[in-house]
Amino acid sequence: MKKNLLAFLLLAAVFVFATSAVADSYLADRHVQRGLKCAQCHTEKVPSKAPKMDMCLKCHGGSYEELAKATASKNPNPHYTHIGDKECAVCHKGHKAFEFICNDCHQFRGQKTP
Amino acid sequence: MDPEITRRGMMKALVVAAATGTVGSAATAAEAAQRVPATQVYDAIILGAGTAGLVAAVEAYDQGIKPVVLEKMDLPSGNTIYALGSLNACCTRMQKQAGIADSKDELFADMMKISAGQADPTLTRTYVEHIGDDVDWLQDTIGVTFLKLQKLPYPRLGRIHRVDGGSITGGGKLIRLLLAACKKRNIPILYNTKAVELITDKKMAVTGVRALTEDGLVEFMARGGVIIATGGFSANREMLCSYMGGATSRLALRGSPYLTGENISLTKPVFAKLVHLDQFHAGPIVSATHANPADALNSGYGIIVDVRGKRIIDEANTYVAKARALPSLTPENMAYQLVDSSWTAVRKMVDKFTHLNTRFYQDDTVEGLAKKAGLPVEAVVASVKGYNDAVKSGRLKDLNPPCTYKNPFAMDKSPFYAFPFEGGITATFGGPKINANAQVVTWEDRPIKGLYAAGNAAGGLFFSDYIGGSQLGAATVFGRIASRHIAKVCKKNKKV
Repeated sequence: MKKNLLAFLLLAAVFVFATSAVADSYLADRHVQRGLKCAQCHTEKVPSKAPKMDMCLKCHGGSYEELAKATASKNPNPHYTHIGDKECAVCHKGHKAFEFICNDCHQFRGQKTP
Repeated sequence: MDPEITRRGMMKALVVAAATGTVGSAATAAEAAQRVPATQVYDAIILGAGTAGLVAAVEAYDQGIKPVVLEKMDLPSGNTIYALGSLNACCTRMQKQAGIADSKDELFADMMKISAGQADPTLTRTYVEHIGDDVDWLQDTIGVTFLKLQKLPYPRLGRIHRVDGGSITGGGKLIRLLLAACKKRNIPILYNTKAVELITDKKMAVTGVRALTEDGLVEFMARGGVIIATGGFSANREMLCSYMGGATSRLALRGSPYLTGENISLTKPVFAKLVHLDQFHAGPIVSATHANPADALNSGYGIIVDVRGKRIIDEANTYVAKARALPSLTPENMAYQLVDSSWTAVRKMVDKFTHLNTRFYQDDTVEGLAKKAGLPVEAVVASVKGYNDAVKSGRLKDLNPPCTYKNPFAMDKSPFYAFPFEGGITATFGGPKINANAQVVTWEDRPIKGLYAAGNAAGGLFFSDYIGGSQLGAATVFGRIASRHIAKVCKKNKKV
C-alpha cells in the first residue's frame, strides 16, 4: 500500500512536471471534473498505460461505427479513415494535448478536439 | 534489435520497478513469465497484414488449415491503405457483363511488354490465369464492391477493377473488408508482433519464425509453411541506397513508412534468390501534405520547370518516368508543373490541392505566376515563350530538352497555374524470387521447403513498370496460391 502510494506520488509528480500550467484542461482532468475516478479508466494497479479503445467505447458511442456516424460531417471523418480504427488514445491523449495524427502526413485544418 | 523497442522495454521495467519500490521483484518476474506465451504452432504463419497476407489468411482458413497473421504495427500498415484500390484483371465476371472482349493471352502480352520483356514469364502467366477468378472471389467471398469498369489502364481495355472505397481510399476499404472476413473466421491477427528471423531445420527447410512481441521473443512454428507478405523496402533508405543508388534514396516516400525490407532481411540468410532489386515504381508527391499531382503530370498540357525556372524533361513522358528522373535532374528533387486553363480538368486539381491544404499558385499572367511561386520570373517567362513558339512553329523536338507531345497545346489561356511536386517512390519490385506455387527459390532455382512470398514482398513479376492495378492483383493471386499450396502440404503430411 505504502509502495503504491509512493509510486502514485512519483508518477503524479512526473505528470505535473511534464504538463505545466494548462494541466486542468486535459482530457483526464475533464473526466475527473465530471466525477470519474482514475481507476474507472485505468485498470492496472498503478495508472501507467493509456486505456484501450474498448474502455473508451463503453461511454463514448458504444462502437467505432457509431463514433464514425457521429463525426460523419467532418471532412475527413476522423473516425473512418484509410489508416483504420486507431486506438483512441493515439489522438485523444489523457494527460497531454490532443494530437491529430492525420496531420502526421497531411495538413488538414479545422479538426479540433474534444 | 530495434532500439525503440529496447528503450520502451526499459522504460516499462523502470515504471514497474518504481511502482513496486523494488527492482526484480519475484512477483513481477512471475507475472511477466505468465504473459509470454509458449511456442505457438499453426499450419500457416503469415507475415504482414496487407492484401497478400490477409487474402492468404482467408484462403488458408477456407482450405481447412489453421493460419495466423503476424503484423509488426498496431494496424495493417502496408501500402494497400494508401492505394486507390485497383486490380488489373481480364476475363472477370464484370468484364463479361460489360461485354468487354479480352483474353488471357492479350493481358499476358501487355504485361510482358510493359516490363520490357524482363518479367518472369511463368509468374506473368500464373497471374493472368488466376486473376479473373480471384477478382470474382474478392466480390463473392470478401464482399468487395467494384466501381464501374473504366477504359483504363494502358492499353485501355477496361481492365481496372477499382474497389469502391466510399469516403476513403479503395485500398483502405479493401483492408477493412479483408479484416472483417478474418474476424468472421476467427483468424488470429497478432499486432505489434514483428518477425525477426526464420527458423530452419537440419535440412534448411523453414519451420517457423522467431518474432518480437510486446512480451519478448516468441517462436511461431509452422506445420505447413511461412508466407512472407511484408511488402517491399521503399521506406528503407539504406536498402534503396545500396541497391539503387543515392538518387533513388532521395525520392520522397509516397506510401507506407513501414515497408522496411523484411522480405530481404528475413530470406537472405536462407539463400533466397533475390531479384530485380534495382526496380521500383515512382510517382509525383507533395510530401508535406501527401497530395498527389499525377493527373496534372499526365494531362498532356503545360511544361515542367525546376526551381531555376528552366524546363528539365520531356513532358510527354509518363508521370512515372518524370518522377523517377527528378532527383537525378535536380538536386532539390523538386519541380513545378505549369499549366494554363486550356487543360479543362485543372479545376479538379485545384480542388484537390485546396482540400489537402497544399500550396499551388494561380495568376492571370505567367509573370505574376512566377512571382507568386517565388520562381525566377525571367527564366519562367522564357521557358513558356520558348515552348509556345515551338508549338507554333512545330519544332518542339528542337527544344532542349526536347518535348515530344503528340498533340501539343500552346499555353495561352489564363489563368495560369503552378503545382509544385517532388519525385516519390511508391513501391519496390525486388525481393525473393518465387515460382508458380509462390514458393521462394534458392539461387539454384530450387524451392525452399516451407517458405513462400506474395505481393510486393516477392520478386520476379515486375520490372521497369507495371500495368496499373497489378500490385494488388498479384497480392491476391499469389496470396491465395501460397495458402493453397500450404494446405496441400499439410494434408500430405497428415497422411504420412
